[in-house]
Amino acid sequence: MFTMIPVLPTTASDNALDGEPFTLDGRIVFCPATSQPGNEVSHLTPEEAVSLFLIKFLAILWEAMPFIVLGAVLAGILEEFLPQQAITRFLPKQAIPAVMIGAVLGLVFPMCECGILVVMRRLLRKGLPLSCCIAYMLAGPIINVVVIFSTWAAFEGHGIAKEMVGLRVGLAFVVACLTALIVHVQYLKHGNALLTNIAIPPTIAASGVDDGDAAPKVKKSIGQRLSNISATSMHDFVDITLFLTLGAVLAATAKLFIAPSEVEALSREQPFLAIPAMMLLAFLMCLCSEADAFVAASFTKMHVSAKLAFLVLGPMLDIKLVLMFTRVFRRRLILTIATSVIILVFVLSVGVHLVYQARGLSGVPG
Amino acid sequence: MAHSHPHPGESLRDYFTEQLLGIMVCAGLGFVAVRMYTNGMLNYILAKPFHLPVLIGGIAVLTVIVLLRAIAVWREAGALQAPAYDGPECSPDHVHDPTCNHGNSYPGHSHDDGDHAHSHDMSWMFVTMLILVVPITLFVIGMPNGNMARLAAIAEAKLEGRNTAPEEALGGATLRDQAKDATVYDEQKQPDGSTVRLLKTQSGLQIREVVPVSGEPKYSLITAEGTEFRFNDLNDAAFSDEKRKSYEGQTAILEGRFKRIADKDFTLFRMKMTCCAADTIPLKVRIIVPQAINGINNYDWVRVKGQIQFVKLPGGNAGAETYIPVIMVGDITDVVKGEPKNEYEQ
Repeated sequence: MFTMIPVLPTTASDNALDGEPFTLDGRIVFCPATSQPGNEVSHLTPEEAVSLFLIKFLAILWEAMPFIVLGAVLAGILEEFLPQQAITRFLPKQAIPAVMIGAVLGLVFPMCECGILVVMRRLLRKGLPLSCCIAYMLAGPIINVVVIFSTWAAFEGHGIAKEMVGLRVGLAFVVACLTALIVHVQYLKHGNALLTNIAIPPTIAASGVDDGDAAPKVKKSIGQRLSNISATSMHDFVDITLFLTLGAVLAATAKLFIAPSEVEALSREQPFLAIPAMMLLAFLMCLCSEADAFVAASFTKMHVSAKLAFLVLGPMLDIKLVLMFTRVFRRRLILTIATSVIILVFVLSVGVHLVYQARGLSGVPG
Repeated sequence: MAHSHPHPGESLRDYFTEQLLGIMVCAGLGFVAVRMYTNGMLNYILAKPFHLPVLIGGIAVLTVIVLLRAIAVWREAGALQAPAYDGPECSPDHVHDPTCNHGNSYPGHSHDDGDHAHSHDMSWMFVTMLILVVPITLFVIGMPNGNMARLAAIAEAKLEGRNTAPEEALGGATLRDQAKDATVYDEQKQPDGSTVRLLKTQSGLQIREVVPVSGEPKYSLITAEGTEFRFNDLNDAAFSDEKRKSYEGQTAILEGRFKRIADKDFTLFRMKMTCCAADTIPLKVRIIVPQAINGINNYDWVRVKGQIQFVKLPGGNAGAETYIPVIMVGDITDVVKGEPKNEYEQ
């Protein structure tokens, strides 16, 4: 409640309100601004550019770091304790159901896209089928409880939460499964030549010793086990963090040249460029899948299909991920994954766009 | 690959160098992670929920990787000395080199890796360490810090402004005109004969009308105590009719960076951070003040108090209406310069 204030003597300031044009009701008349001292196009000073770069770089690095540590420690434990081929006993033998299970594993094992890669390299070594791994790697960062919730929360205020969550999960599932099956076909053709040496399961014939099976062997002491775990963890941590650092440098540099508002402006002028532009932005920005929904939601004027492309491609493929891929997959496989994901995301997003048009929905909130 | 022993063909020196460098770099990163948590530097780059994971990650690195590895390598080095050796190579100033053959047995190793093709090119190792040392070095020279966060926010605002149309000043009806179709909800006679009325307009704007005994009535905005509002909530509310109605007329307090548009019209912007500083977006709220503001420069940090209103912008998208949140400041003293407690809104 307002308290009554005794009337103050009239001063110039009291009058200032009355004479000048003021706001506001629902009907607004725009005055073109006569003098706009604050609106000149400003270029960045060197300190601003460097600060922007360093802040972005450090943010990406330190946000991902704990998850890579987690992945590295898990990798060390898995390498030491998980018997070879243990997982494959639980998976269906045919590729298609195995792949579909892999795609939804994220609901049970939520994991950030950085940590997944470290663990997956070891799982591959332990005999997990490549196609299943790929499905989990691509869909896991999207089809999990945390990201579903954050996607919903980001778009709830704009009234399109249900569509965005449903479409994001659906598209991610399809893209992940199809890509995994394509990889499976490649694997049947090329086998382990697709993987880097670390990821290849050691064959029984080569080493002469079956790792961890029922065959009698010298029992390892706890000290030896800890030593092995720490060795694997340190190796994996150093290996992956190196490429994370390089990826963070590239992403931070990209941020200096491409602002999200540029993408929005570009898409306004050329609507059919919106989807590829958002895909490129997702690739360059290297966002965590928990946060990217809020960034996509901020592109308020963009069509649902463009935001969808951003949200499905980002967690599957971005600069830092591609660099980290090189530690697990060989070039042919990386190209296969990248091409497949890009084409599928593009085609499906355009498909969504056409469906919206056909049904006469605007696809833009508000 | 579990490097619990050097490969045949790899020199002992390379193995131990690699291990020691790895331990040192991991120790550095783990230590920096823990320190950044304890001295609050993480506030400049990460959202609150992500601070604890950095601490835990740092501790995990220091224990699982650094401590265990250091102990293991120490013991391995110790075991090397164990065989009594009277051979001619063991003179006091003997330097180990790849041709040395100081015993072939190492403490409990397991042949579980098949990638002997892994290159132990030492130059690769040094490059790796150099790159990983960069974040440690940045920490040592005091980054990230508040000044950097400020400059980065300004840089982002400038980049965003580069591509959007310049904001235009808002115009419209004067308070007097607004008051015409407002409803009176309180009226009191003053001791000196004048009447003070409290009015509320269609859009929830609350105006005080002072009718003196003789002369023109004067209008001013009523500013209450005010509560802190979030840029995010105000911008989100702009999309929904009922949310707009629920916010209109309330007195909000906002803090952010100042960007002038016209004499009495400026934008307040604040970086919204969801997870980390890489996902920040500038959020804006328009501020209208009763008098021209001097003495505040672009990008200064200011604190503003005023009534919430929503203004419709012309030219929507296929008929969709776009509203922006606006804060109507009643008194120029409700705009104050200051320093940010936190650059980001989370």
